Order: sequence, then C-alpha cells, then structure tokens
Amino acid sequence: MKKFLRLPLFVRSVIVLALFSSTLVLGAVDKESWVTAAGSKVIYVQTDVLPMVDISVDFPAGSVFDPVAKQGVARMVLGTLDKGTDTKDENQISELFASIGTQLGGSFDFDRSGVTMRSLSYKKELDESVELLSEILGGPSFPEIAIDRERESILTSIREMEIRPGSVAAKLFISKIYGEHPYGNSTYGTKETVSTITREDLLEFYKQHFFSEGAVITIVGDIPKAAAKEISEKLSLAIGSRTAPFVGEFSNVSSLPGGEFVVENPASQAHVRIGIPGIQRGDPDYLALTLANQILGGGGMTSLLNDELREKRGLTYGVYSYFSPLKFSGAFVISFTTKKDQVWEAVDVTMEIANKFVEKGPTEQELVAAKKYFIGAFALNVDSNAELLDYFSTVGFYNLPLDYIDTFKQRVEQITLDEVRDALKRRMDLSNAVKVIVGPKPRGSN
Amino acid sequence: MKGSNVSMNSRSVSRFNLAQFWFYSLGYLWLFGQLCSVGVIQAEQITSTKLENGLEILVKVDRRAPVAAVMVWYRAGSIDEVTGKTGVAHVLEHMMFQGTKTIPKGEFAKKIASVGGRSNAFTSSDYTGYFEELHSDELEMAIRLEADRMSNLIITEEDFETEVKVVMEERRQRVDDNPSALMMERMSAVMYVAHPYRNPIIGWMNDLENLTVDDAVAWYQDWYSPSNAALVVSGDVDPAEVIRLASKYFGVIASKELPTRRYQSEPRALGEKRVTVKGSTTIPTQSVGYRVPRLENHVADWEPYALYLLAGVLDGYSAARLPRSLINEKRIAVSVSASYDGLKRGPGGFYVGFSPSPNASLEMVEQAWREELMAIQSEGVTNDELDRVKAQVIAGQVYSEDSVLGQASRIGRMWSVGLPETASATINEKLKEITPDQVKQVAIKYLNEDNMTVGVLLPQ
Repeated sequence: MKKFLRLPLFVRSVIVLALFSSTLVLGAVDKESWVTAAGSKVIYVQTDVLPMVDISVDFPAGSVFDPVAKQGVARMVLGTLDKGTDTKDENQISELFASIGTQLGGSFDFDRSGVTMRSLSYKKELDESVELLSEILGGPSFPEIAIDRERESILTSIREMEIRPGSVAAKLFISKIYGEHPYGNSTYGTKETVSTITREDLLEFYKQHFFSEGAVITIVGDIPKAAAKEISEKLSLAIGSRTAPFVGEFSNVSSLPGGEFVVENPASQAHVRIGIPGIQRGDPDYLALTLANQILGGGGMTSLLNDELREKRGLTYGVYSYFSPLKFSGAFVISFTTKKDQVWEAVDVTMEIANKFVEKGPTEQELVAAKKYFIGAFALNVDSNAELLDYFSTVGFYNLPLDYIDTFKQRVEQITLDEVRDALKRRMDLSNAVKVIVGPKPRGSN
Repeated sequence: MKGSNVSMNSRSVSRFNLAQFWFYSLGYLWLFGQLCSVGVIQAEQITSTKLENGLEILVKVDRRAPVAAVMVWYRAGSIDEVTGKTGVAHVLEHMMFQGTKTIPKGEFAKKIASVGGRSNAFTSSDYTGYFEELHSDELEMAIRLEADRMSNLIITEEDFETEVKVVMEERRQRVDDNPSALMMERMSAVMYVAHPYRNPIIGWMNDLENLTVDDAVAWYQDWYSPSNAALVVSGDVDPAEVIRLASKYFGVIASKELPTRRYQSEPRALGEKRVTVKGSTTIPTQSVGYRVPRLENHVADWEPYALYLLAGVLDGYSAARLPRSLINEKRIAVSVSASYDGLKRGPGGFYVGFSPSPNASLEMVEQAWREELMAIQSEGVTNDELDRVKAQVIAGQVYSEDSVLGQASRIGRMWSVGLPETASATINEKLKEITPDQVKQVAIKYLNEDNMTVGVLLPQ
C-alpha cells in the first residue's frame, strides 16, 4: 500500500545531504551550463544509454518565503500547480501525461520548490511532455476546487503530525534551533494559517516566486545539446519574467540557547533529536565537517554512535547524524528512536560520545577511512539519471561551482587531521545543543 | 509486481534503516498525487549459469558507470517459519553482519565502506536478500565476503541477545508505533487462516522474546546453502569474470540437503472477514484485501496480468478511477490506493485502501468503492484507460533500468518465485495483450465479498 500521509518535514534536505556527504567526482560526466534568453540558468548533462530524459525546474519558492500570516502557502502552490491551466483541467493533464508514460513529480523544502518530469526521449513523447510542462509552469489556473482539496489534505496531515512522536520531535526541534527565523516554521504551515489561505494568496505567491530569472532548469538524459537548448528556452519563456525580488528580507540563523525539551507521548519509543545550527551551502568548512560527521554518525553501520548505541548496547535500530546545508545554516542533527525506559541512558551515551569526538577529533585512521569512503562512493551517488538530476539541480540552485564534481577527489585528499579537528572545535560545540526528547516523562520522574 | 520498490519498504524489513530514506524519497513523487510505479522490463540480456553445488548465477551488464551491484538471494523468508518462531528469518539476516571465522564482528561493513561501497539486506515473506553496491573494481571483494558468510558465519549467544534487542526496537519503530502498519499486520492475521502469510515478517513480539541463539543457528544451517541461493550481479562487469569469481569463492561451499517444504494451501474463503484496530492516529483508514492468484506460469497465465492492469486502471495515475471519483469529484477521500502483489511464493493479494476526508466516513468511502467496483464488473473498462496504463508499463520498463541495484533486484525477485530470468520480457508482452474484457472478468471473479478481508484503523 502507498503511504497515506505526507509526513517528513525534512525530506529533501536529508536526501540532498546523503548525496552531498559522499559523492562528487565524475570526470566522465558531460555537463554544460548556460542562461536562457529569459534569464533562467540551465544545467545540461547528456547520458545516452537509456531513451529517457529527466527535467527539473526549481524556483526560489520554498516555505522560507511564506508570509507570516500565510504559512503553508508555498507548499500549497506546488501542490496545486498541476491542477489546471487555461485550456486543460486536472484530469486532462493527468491523462495526457499517463498516455505517454510521462511521470510528473515535485520536491519542496525551506528554500526551494521544484517540479520534476521524467519522459521517454522519443520525439512524440518528449515534445508533448515539454509542451504540457510549459503550459503548467507558465499558466496554472489554481482552480478553487483543487485548492479546497489541497487545504483539506494539508489540514489532515497537520492534525496527524500533532500526535505522531517523530513529527512532534521534528517540529519542536526546528522551532528551538531557529526561533523566529523562517526555518523555524513547519513547511506545512499551521492549522490557523492554512485555513485562511485563499486562491488570491496562491496567485500572489506564484507571481512573486515563479519567474524565469529565478528558475533553474536541469536536463539529464538522451537528447542532443541543441534539443536541450530548445527545451530550456521554451520552458523559460513560458515561465515568464517577474519583477518582484526573490530573496527575502531575512538574514542568517542566529544561535539560540539550547537545552533539553521533553514532551510526553504514549508511543512505545521515544524520539530523540539533538543538534545545533549547522552549515550553509558553499561553507568553507563543508568538507571537513561532513568528513567528521561520517565518522561520528553519518557512516551508517560504521559510525561511532552506531557502534555504541546499536552494536554494543542494542538500544536502537538506527542512530544517524547529518548536516542539512541550506541557503542559510541548516541544522546539524543526531537522531534516533529507542524504547522509552532506556531513553536517558541513550541520550547520555550519545552526548558523551559526541562531546568527546568534538573535543578530541577523529583519529588519523578514522579520517583515512572516511576519506576513502567519500572518494570511493562518488560513482555510486551519480550513477543514474535520477541522481545526476538531483545533484546538478542542487549545484545550479545554490550557485555551486559546476566543476565541483571534478575536483572533489583532490579536495578530499587534501583535508588534514588538523583541519578537521579545528573545524570541529570552531563549529560543533554541543554544550549549547538543542535536545528534543518526545515520549518519556521528564528526567527523574517515574 | 506493482511498485516493487514500494513493497520492498512496506512489506519487508531490513538490517539497517536505509529503507527509511527510500521511503522518504518516494514521498516526493506523491506531492502531485499518485504516480504509477510500474516495474516491468524489456527484452534483455542476462547471462545465467549454475554451479555444481546448486548456486544459480545471473549477470546483467550495464556499462553506464563503473559500478556493480552484487546480490545474494536466499529462498527463505517468513513463509518458511513455524509457529512460535516467527521473525527468525529476519533475525538471522541481522546476524549475517556479525562476523565469520575470518572476518571479525563489525569488519564486514567497514571493508565495504573502505572502498566507498554500501551494503544492506532485506527480508520478506518469500526471500532474504543481501547486497553490496560498489566500484566495479571491487567486485571480487563483495563476492568473497558474501561467499564467506554463506558458510562461515559465527553466531554467539552474546551477539544474538544484543541483536534481538535491536530487532525489537525495529519492530517498535516500524509496527507498534505505526498505526497503519499495525492495522495491516492484524489484517493479514485474519486474511489467512492457515497460510504462514498470516504472520508478520518481523515476527510477533512475544516470539522475538522467546527466540534463542539455537533457533538462529538452526535457521542458518537449514536454509543457507548454495542450492537455495542465487548470486545476482548487475553493472559494469564481465559475465565470465563474475562466473570465475563465483566458482572460486562459492564453488567450494558444500551443498546441503534442504528441509522439506510443505506447500501450505490456504482453505477457501467462506465469507467476508473484518478486523478493527484502534490506534494512535487522527486519520481513519481502511484496507480491503482480496485473495487472488499469484503469477505461477508466466506463459500460460493471464489473470495475474489482468489484475495488475486493473490496479493501474483504479489508481495508476491521478485521474485514474479511484482518485478521480473518490478524491477529486465526490471529495469523500483524502487518499486512495490499489495494488496487486502477484510475484509471490504463496497466494497473491489485491488491495484497495482509502482514508476519508474529514467530512466523510469510512462507510461512505467503502460504499463508493463498491460502486466503482460494480461499474467495472457490469460495464468493464475502456480501451483508452487500459492504453494509458499500458503506456506507463512500457515507459516503466525503460525507467526501471535507471538504477543498477534496481535491475539486480528485479532479477532476484523473479528467481525467488521460481520464474526463469527470461520471464520479464514475456511478462511485458503478455501485459500488452490483455483486453478490457479480461480486466472485467478478473474483477468479477475475484473482487467479491466472500473473498474479501477488511482491515479498519480507527482513532482511539
């Protein structure tokens, strides 16, 4: 069965991180970048084995741009974007895509709102797919009925997230990490704000944030450059120019007082999130810190935290730590679940290991292993069209160097133990960490 | 068949939580509503051979990138478990990472990671699988390590006791604290009266508490034999080299005589069954399960193909019958789903699921589903809608080739149910031949009340 509910708040960051924390060298990738006449940035990667094309169009239209009283509008815009155009209703759109085997998807996070499309690369299928995508991006009609439905669906999700321990923990965590910064708000909005969002709000948001100069178009697949140019021009032109500024008025995340925040919940397991504001896209400490994270909790079955919590003590099915680099500092998070009556032991052990690691840094041997993993894993993380699309759309959106992928191996090799230790000391002080524990009664009570 | 990647998450359990990431990533696609994830294949070149000890070897070459996926599949899953020992197949899967005569505990994952590779495993009702994704230069290491743990595993009492605790945490996370999973678990337990599909793959908690290290050892000795396994390799590899390495490392392992498998048939359904679960949720949910045939003879059978396309007609795209009627037009549901699972060693299942919108009730949605079903049973489906589903099947063949691991998984899955490696191409052709009338026929024959089990999840 399919999942009934859209739960995760952090979906995209987690995935993007998984890609970034371990990849990036692939000299063989034939990639080019240009800007369309209407001002959209394009990244094009030609792969020619499978007769298919993946296209993403990303906009600076994530939840960070939600007006305070209309939190959730950005997500609703993406959710209803394909529900109608001037000439087609939602059923016609869906049937057209289905009849040529084209898949339409979306991705959404704090910074970014994006549409992805996967089509066969044969002329008929690709032409029809691009035509329809242009129409959707350039002239969504946002029918009232689709908006009502979307609102209802989001309100249903919000109500469910209020009692699910994992969602409660995620929401409380971002609010404590980011405070008043827009990253502190749920991308879904609140029951109050979502209830008041109207079609006019959606149109206004669309007009401000879906414009050709802000759009980043990524094309991966079996089409020649000339065809990719044509597609990018067509999409960019359809999206159309806008005059509204696309960077909000907010500044970077500021550090807030941390502490332990405990919320009771009837579930059998406690959900734990421990963290601090982490790193930005393009951060100079990025490699040193992600290598360190690989050793601490990013390396799955090989990490220090996993070794202690899972392998030695059997406390959890999995413990992870990760950075979620965003335009502004995305959070560094350690997360796990464990039976409620052993949660304090697990939290204390986690803090002990993490603090010791930050203070002493990794051993030479641990760093060598992490570097080997980073360098060796590059091919695995960009070995499919889907992964190439994900990777290059992120490079494009955050204006990262296009050749980052080519110099990756060299830069990883150059990182020294001292640099990692230094970065840990400067950036990873956990004495002020936010610790959210959803499940048990407060410490000391029975 | 439908959405093999989805069922890998929801109906199998894993040694490690990467599945969560896959699950999330699938979530993206749902932003725009349901998209059909079809997983059938074009004619393809698969090299196959069998070693003297019975190990089957299946190799699919894909030279797009210098990577390889190495998988070992065992035909042993929860279907092979006995009362009181449910969950042992999955516990053993966890133990397979613990250490062997030559590889100390914890070293397996470190060796794979040291070359930038990834490893994991999964257990389902019908099989247990292990895999490594790594640079194709490291093929030998993966094959050597997999062969090693096929015969040299060391299972200590101490490691077992710790790992069972991990599995209990996994059960809490996946099932006990997940109301819809809990409902599906209870629903399966009434859908099947005698067949082992009535038991959860992860095992009942009480059975996990009672399992002993001897149970795990016995499971390993019974089922982990080359004669009960397949090595599947996809990616930038040379088939002759794969076979050479397999002979070198797996070839020395003696074949064991497997325990007798008693085919357990499920007695005929005698009427509708219904189970209610009250859970920690705000969203009522209902699943309607029908017992249907599995794909047994991929050349002669046609009903499984018709059932598969029926699921697509119902929920293959966002304007398919169920979302269009129940969500878009009547506005009585916030989510709907339909799926057919026919690639099984045991009975197949056809499932329809839904959650009502806040202003509607489960009864209203169930009634609407009955009406949709009756419409198909009396008037059939149109050529146009069947063509749309088939178009997605055809495109889906191409899309499914994008993942190297996905290719190996598909081949392994075919092997696990005893179909030949060439079956994929035939299946694809057979799907294209299905007519609207055949879809109507299977809807009449199988989707009836006496054959139905209903699972209901209600807020506490």
